[in-house]
Amino acid sequence: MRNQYVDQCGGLDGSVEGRQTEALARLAEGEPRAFACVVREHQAMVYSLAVHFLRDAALAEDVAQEVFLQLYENCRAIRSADHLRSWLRKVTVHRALDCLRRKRISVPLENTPEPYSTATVGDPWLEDKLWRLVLTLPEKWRMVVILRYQEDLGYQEIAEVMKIPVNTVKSSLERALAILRKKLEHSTVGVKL
Amino acid sequence: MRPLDEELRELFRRKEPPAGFEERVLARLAGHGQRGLALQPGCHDRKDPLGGPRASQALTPGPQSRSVLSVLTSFWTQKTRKIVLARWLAAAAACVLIIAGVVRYRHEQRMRAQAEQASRQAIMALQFAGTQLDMALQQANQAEAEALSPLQHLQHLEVIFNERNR
Repeated sequence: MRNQYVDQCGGLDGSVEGRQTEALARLAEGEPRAFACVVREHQAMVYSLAVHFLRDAALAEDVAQEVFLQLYENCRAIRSADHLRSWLRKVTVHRALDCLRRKRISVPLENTPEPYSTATVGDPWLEDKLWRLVLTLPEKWRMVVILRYQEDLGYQEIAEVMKIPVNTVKSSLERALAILRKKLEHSTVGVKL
Repeated sequence: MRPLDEELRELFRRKEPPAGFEERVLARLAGHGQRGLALQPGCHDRKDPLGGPRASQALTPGPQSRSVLSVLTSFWTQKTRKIVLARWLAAAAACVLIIAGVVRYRHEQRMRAQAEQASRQAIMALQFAGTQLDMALQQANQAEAEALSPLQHLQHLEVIFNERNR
C-alpha cells in the first residue's frame, strides 16, 4: 500500500507530514499528480464530513469534489499540512451548510440513499436510532457534533472551523448531547448514557 | 453497553468515498483546464461549469429521463429567470419611488421656506408702515396742539391794534 502510494505520488517519501508538505510544494507548481496525492490523502475526511452532515452520498460527493477543485484554485495559499487540513475542514463545513440551506433538504431516512456500504460494528438498531435523532438536531449543532466526534476537534478548533464563538460551540454541544441522551432514554435499554 | 460518546464516535467514523472519486475529481479538473473556466461555489443542482462527471450525474437514468430532466431544468431556469427579473423590477420600482419621494419632499421644503421668508418680509413691511403712520399722527397732533383757535387769533390781533394806536 505504501509502495503503491509512493509510486503513484511520483516518489514522494518520508513521513506523512513530509509527504504532504512536498505534495503541496509540487501542487503549487501545478503538478496534477501532487494534487491527486492530496486528494487521496484527505478524501475520507472531506467526504465523511459532507456525508455525515448531508446524509446523501451523491450530494456529499459533489460537495467533496467542489472542495478539492477549490483547493486546486487556492493551493498557493496553503502554507502547511496543518493549514491544509484546517482549510479543507472549513471549506467542507461551509459548503455543506450552504448546500443544505440552498436545497432545503428534508432528509427522510426512507428516501435517503444509504451512504454506508460497510457493515456496522455496533448495534444496527441503535445506530439507526442515533442517526434519526442526530438528524433532528439543528444544522449547526449537528455540524458541531460531527466535528467533535468525527474529527475529534476541541472547542477552540471547532469554533475556528465554524467561525462561531467558543462559548457557542460549548453550549451547542452540551445541548445537543443532552437532547440525544434525553431522547435515547425513552427508547434505549442497555446503553450507558 | 457503551457510553454515548463512544456510540457517536462509532457513528461518525470516517468513511472512504465511493470508488473512482479521485478520478472524477481529476476529470473535472481536466474539464476546467480545457475550458479555462473559473471555479464557482455551487451545489448539486447548479450547472457544472467544469464539464466533468459529478456524483449526481452518475445517478441520473437513461437518455429519455435525461430529456425530461432537461425540460424540467429549462423550466426551472425560465422560472428562476422570471423570479430574478421580477425582483429586479421590484427593486427598480422601489428605487424610483424613493427618488421621487425625496425630490417631492425637497421641493415642498423649498416652497415652505420661500413662503416663510415672504411672510416674514410682509410682517416687517407692515411693522414699518405702522411706525411711519404713528409718527405722522404724532406730528399732526402736535401741530394741532400748537395751532391758535380763530377767537384767540382775533384777540391777539386786537392786542396788536391797540398797542399801535396808543
